[in-house]
Amino acid sequence: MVRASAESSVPGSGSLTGAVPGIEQPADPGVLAELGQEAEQWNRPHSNLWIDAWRRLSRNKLALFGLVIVILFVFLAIFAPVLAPYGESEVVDVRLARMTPNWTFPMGLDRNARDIFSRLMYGARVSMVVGLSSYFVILLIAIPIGSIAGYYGGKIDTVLMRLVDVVYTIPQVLLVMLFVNARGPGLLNIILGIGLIGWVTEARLIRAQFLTLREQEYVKASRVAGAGGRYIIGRHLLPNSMTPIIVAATFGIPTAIFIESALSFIGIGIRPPQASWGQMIGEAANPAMIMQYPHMLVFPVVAVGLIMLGFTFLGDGLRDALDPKGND
Amino acid sequence: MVRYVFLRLIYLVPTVFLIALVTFIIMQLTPGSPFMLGNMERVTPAMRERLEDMYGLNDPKVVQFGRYIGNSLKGDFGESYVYKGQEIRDIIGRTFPVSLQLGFQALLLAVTIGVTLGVIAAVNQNGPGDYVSMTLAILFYAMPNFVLGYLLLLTFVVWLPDHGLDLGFNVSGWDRPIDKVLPTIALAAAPLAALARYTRGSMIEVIRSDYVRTARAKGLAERKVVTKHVLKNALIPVITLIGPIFAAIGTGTFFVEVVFNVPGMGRFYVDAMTNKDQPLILAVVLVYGVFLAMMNILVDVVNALIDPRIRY
Repeated sequence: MVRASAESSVPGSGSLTGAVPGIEQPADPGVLAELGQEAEQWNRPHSNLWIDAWRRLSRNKLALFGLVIVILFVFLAIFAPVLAPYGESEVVDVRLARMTPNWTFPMGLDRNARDIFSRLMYGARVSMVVGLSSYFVILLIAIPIGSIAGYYGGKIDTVLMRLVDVVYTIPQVLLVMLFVNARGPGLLNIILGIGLIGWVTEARLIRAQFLTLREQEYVKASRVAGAGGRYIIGRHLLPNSMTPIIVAATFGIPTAIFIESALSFIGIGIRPPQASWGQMIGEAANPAMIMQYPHMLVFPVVAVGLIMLGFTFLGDGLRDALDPKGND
Repeated sequence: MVRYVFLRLIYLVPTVFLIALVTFIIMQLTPGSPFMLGNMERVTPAMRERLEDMYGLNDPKVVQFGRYIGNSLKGDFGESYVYKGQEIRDIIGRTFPVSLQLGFQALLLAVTIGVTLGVIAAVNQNGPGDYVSMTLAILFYAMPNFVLGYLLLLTFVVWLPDHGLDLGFNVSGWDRPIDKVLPTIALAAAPLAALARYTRGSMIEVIRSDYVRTARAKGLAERKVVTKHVLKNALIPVITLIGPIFAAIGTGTFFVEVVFNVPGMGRFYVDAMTNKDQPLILAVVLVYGVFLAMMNILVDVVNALIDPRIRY
């Protein structure tokens, strides 16, 4: 436990771990040195949940690798207009359509003679915007509903759990497909679709978290002291639910990115000329093209694969780093 | 037990009703008429009016929903708007078995290889076997199935034949047995990885338990400890994962079928999407929903039969 280890850094309180010099006087200098080392461990610099988590995360090579990938793609997304050699839908030269990779065009040109390298950078923007904003929408809906259901219970709780049953029966991708198809393609509808359907899972997570937390002694103490429901939720329950929410985000964001690319792939997501990785895959993906011009397919496929890998590595590492149960 | 199954089946009714309601509401968000699409330019407003009347699209929504529920119960999903003269029942009857076959092949592959990898990883905890299987698992786990599908295509249809190794894979098709290999792998990968990770965790938990220590202490061979004591108990929680895996494979078929040109229900659904073929969309979602709900019940029942601790 993170909190407990911070407390036991007060000398003399950590008797459970053994090896604490009690009454006996150790005579052996070797033992003394050992004890000195341990005392040093107890007096380690001030630590909190986030510093501890970072320390554990930075020891995990895969997680760091994931973090680097995610940061790299965020960087590309932000600076795409500066870094990209060509515009998002700029036609380089119609006669050069489908040109294979070379020194001028490192990833080649697509069937409309647009630079694939530049389009990939702009595609990163779509992925990041969809991933972050749809998760924002999810939290905007899930936090109030999950909080009320978990803390007060009652009708909202019943309705939420029935809704969860339904949404779990029909796969999320299917529902988002229905929604986006009904509302029409475009960035906003994709974000709304993922947000309006995806909140159910997160609301359930927050509800479950609140159900256990509200029975804790400090919450009871707060209630006895006269605190109201809103104060307890904002002051105790939500802050203590932050770690599972963050871990859920590292899985929710790539899920949103995946859904966007899947929708654009089958042609109901982001519309050309705007670039999206899924759409680039869909464009390059008819059987004749795959055989003749595989370069149009390889790069967007690798991009989607890399970003998903990055988030999964990071998410796995974060879960291990933040989950108190996994601590050694 | 019989009572439990009966209750679960009863409970299926409101769930399916809600699924139908949610899909129906979403479908109502669609602006415009299905008869205003690009391929129907020659339909005059008067003709469109008549067409809409014929399909009952001008009735109150409640009436439309009631009729839709009533007809679905009879297994009559109406006629497709786009595939003229084809009963949706026939389309689904033709395409669903293909998706089902693909799905079950993938499930079989995922369960056998996934559980095996998990067991290997757990038995060699922190050893090379563990490292290799878990790296493989996380790679598969993160890769969206349509991305993996294209990676497989690029490798086995483009890259390897270019380098003189042609294994006979085609870019699309479903008739030859070899055509079914790559789609099955692409569809099975993610569930396989999830199963491997979950099995490993479950195994490690059991390996640390007291009765396994006892089994070792009385001198049982390691092989016997694993097969007789660990596996039996570790695999019970794994079965609960099969439910969500059904759902993952169900949605996966949509994209994998598009990637490999498999003539299944998923590909038809994607086509119906772009054509705003509402009756077909509603029917496919309903069929999937009912199928998945029944599979979940089946998984729960199997779980109850295997695990004597579960009582209903």
